[in-house]
Amino acid sequence: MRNKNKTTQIISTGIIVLLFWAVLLFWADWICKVVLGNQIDGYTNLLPASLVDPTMEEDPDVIPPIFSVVHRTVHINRAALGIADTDKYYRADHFVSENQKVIYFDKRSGCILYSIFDDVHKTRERILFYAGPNGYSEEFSEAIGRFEDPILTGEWSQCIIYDHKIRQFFRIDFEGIIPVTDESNRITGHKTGSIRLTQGPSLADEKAYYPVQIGTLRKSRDIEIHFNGPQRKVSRKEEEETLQGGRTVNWKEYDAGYLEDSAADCILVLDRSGRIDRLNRETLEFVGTAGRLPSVKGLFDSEAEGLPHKLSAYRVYPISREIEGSVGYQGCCVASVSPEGLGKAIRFFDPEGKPVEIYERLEYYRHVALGQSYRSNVNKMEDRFLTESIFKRPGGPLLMVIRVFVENLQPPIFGMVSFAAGDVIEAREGFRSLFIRPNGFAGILSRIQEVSYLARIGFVFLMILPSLLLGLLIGWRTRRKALRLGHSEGIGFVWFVMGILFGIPAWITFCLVRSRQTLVTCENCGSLRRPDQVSCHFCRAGWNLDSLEPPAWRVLEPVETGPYCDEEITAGAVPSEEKPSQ
Amino acid sequence: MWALVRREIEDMWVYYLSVILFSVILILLAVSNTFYGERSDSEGFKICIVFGTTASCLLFAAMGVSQMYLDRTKKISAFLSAHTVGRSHVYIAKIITGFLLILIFYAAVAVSFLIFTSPYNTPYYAASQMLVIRFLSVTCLAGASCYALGLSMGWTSGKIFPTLGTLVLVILLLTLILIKGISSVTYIIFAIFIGSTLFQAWKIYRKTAL
Repeated sequence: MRNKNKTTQIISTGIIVLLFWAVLLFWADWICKVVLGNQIDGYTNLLPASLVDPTMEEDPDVIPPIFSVVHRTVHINRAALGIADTDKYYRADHFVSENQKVIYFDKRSGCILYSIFDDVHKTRERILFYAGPNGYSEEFSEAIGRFEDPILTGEWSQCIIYDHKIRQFFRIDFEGIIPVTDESNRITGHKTGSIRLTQGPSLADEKAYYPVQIGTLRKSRDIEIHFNGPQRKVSRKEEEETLQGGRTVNWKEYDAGYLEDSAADCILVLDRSGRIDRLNRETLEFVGTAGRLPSVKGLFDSEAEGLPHKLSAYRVYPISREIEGSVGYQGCCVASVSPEGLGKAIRFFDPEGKPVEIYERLEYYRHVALGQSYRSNVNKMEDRFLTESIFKRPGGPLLMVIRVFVENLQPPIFGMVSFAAGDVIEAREGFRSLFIRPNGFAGILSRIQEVSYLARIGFVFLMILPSLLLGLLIGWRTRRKALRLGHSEGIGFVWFVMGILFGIPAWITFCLVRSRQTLVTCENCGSLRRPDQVSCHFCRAGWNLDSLEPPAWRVLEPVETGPYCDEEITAGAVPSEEKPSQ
Repeated sequence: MWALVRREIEDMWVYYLSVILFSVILILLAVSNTFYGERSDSEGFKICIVFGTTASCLLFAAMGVSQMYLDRTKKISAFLSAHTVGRSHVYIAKIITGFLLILIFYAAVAVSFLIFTSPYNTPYYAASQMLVIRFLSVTCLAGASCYALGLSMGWTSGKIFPTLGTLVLVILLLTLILIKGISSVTYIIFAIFIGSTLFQAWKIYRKTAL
């Protein structure tokens, strides 16, 4: 029972120490990452070959369509704190909101609600429609069914829903719902139109299709894509004509037909396998593949697969173009960020979903200034990871060394588990992991695909070697101390193993829970021994009996004097018949 | 047991008074914001909630330290052990007193939130209200953790270590909310921490000689 209590005490103390130690190391690592991340911001301007027509290529005064990809590592560091990762709290795709109108999923009723608010503070909600998988009504009714786990996208006139449980797409068309407003443009009522609910075919095969996001495909704002349509330099004469409020306009839109973030008559659907599909809005059927999330290289050439849960951020940006009244899908730009947030990969897919060669623009307007074709100002785009930038920055190598040092202060067992099971943790959750760190060096090394598994184990062994050596030293010292304090060989061995596995926290725990009693000198061997044990734990000698011999006299009954007493007995004297025979 | 709890409350009256005062201010602020003020003026209430919950964690830790420190220096449990109660009774009374304070504080916060969000009682705000409930439950667990930490740190004869040491550890512990955010993992970590720390404090408390 006593041993059980002691074990529980050791475990509880260990948990407390481990938690504080992990929090301390997290902040040390975070500070290093913030200092490194604040120095790095990756901007890339790229031109997909398929969007450049020959007339643009030949005209030196024309800038072809450009995608600007902004990769902000500083955002990653901020989002490394769970409290700042707002995506976790709000599922933005559950809401379509504009002024006093809102479409959203209500968990309680399991319906998509179309509501208007009667006041600007949005306190008086008037629900116009409840829409479920089986129909819609103006009052809540069980007959319309319930959505279980939906994701939705859309605008005011149309809303597309996918339910993970029902495994089916739905479209709700809101037709002719016109809010009635007063003179100050406040909604006071509505003219009821109609709702049309369309059900798509069921996606029975879970392996073939498993949508995780629809409509705007994005994970965090760490990577952003902007689109600039083609522009043409205006002539001096035009320049004078187009003076706007005293400001000169040097550039004009060359083609205003581009529609940003639009897949024409389709919406994009991201599958859990990383594939991006095109879903027809009308038929709610898949019409083809738009592309896929690219795998991305990060620190030390580690590679992460292009899977939604393995990437720390991604963004898919479709482009459409209106030509002679009809809108056609032109392709999509896809960018992924590696799990630790330092590498990025960008691809452009044509309307058939095939990757297209992309170029990176070197300098703004250089080819225009030199009167050359845009090709003189571009390089073929390659995947970029910021490893080099880190080591070139002032203080970069030092900060990386500090990070390695900090990582080696954490218990070696966590380094090993990070290597073996780091992949299981979702990439963004990995930023705020306290114990198992998929974005620590051990976790990153486990993602190097170019070398064999054995070689990876070797790398990780070298990486955590300092912490293992430290653990060994701590284990050896803890065991020695435990034996000195009179613990058995078995307990000494347990502390030795704990020291190796948990390192410094094991040592702190041992210091907190070890016996506090004052040791006494053994008269046989001279070592310090525990006073509560029968024998010395070094020489096995018992206590010196000479000093513990009972006195020769004893008080057998209360001291008394009286008429029946032959002789007076006083304390300290031994009665004659009780005297021990010599 | 009730007599012990009453005695603990009498000893810790300063903490109870501060919490009751803060609760009254919070509820009055919520009432004035909701029924008499403009919604745009509600920043004061929100700031009061965020800083109040953080400061309350320090207060709970301080109370834990005070309970143990007073017991050790005034030998309260040693005196009581000479009577019919044991140290386990005294310890349970301390915990009841501490948790009662936390309960009073979070009941007041919850009431003020109910008043504040009463105009927004529509399905549209259900998700936001759920987030607020989760935030309050995480801070409530954080408060209980800080109190438990205070209990285990307060059983020392020195003054500097329980004061500064607890302050540093409480700040470190509260940063856990920043790191992990409002998630189920945070609940689990705090729950394990409370269990471990209370057990640890009990072992230290029980083992010390009278």
